[in-house]
Amino acid sequence: MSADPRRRAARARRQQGGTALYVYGFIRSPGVDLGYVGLDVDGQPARVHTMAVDRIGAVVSPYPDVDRVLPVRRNLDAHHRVGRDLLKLAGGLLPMRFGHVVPGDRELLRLLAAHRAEIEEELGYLDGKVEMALKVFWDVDNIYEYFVDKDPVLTDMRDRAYGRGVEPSRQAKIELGRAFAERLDADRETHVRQVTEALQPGADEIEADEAGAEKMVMNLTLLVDRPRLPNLEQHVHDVAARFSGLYLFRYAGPFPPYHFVGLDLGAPPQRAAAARS
Amino acid sequence: MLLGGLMFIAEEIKRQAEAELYSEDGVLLEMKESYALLESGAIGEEEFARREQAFLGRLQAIEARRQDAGMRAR
Repeated sequence: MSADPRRRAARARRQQGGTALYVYGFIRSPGVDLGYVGLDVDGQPARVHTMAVDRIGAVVSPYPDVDRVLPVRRNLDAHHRVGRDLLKLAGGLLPMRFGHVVPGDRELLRLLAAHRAEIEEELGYLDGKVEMALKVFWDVDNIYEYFVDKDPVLTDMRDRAYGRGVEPSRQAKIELGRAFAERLDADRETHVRQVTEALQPGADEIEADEAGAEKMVMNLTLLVDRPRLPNLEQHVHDVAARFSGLYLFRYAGPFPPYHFVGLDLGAPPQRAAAARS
Repeated sequence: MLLGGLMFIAEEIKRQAEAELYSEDGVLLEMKESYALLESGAIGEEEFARREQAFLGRLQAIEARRQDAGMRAR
């Protein structure tokens, strides 16, 4: 038997035949029906609608009571499609990150009532704001060669390790690899600082996530008031112009502000601002 | 360094590598990151599909290990 209590609880509910709800987010419109655009149930997109407590609507679709939702392409596409549709509604959107399943109607309404003040506060904070993604890459064929060639310390280490025409020792390879990784991280830190400082005046908040690929310099997410989008875009253009052609800037959005939600339905209710900080 | 010490380090590295490879949360996170790379255009459809298959394979291996551990615990 599984030692994980979440798994045990989900299995017990499944055995009782319970249908759960996939939660996309919260809005200030209690009666919205987006139609059959949700995550698949039995191979068909499920109906996305709201369940409300007073003016707050939880946007949900029926989903099997599972302990995890697989982040495969089809599921992620549906989650983000609903998020984009919700972003068009007036009154603010508090989007949930991918994979949030609540065991059933009663539990959802209980959570909604328990976290109502928090949800209201978050909706107020995020009203009119969107998320933009800025990913910067080294646009070079071989990132290792690029750094080793431009850094005299790394060049020297490589020449000493490989220069004698014999295969270098394992230790020499490890040291060279470590020095390369350190140089890569140091460059990333410098560039993240430069770009973040340059974009600060144009954004409400900036989050720097870990680079998810070797050639990625930075992975920034920016929260901005929709009317300020052109201004932020100008800041992005200006800072990009300070980098050489060896850097590739990819700027995408607007997206629902997933990264800037402090609400945790699994935690005891608290003030949203405290959760964000 | 004593041979015993070297063996310990090798075991520890292997343990950490396996923990990373067989962490379900880690794989799920990598899947979401991979999707973000696809959306930003950093990787193409083909590369994404290749990665997704690899992730699903790792999740299957994790499930198999979990079931195996459950059988042995009985």
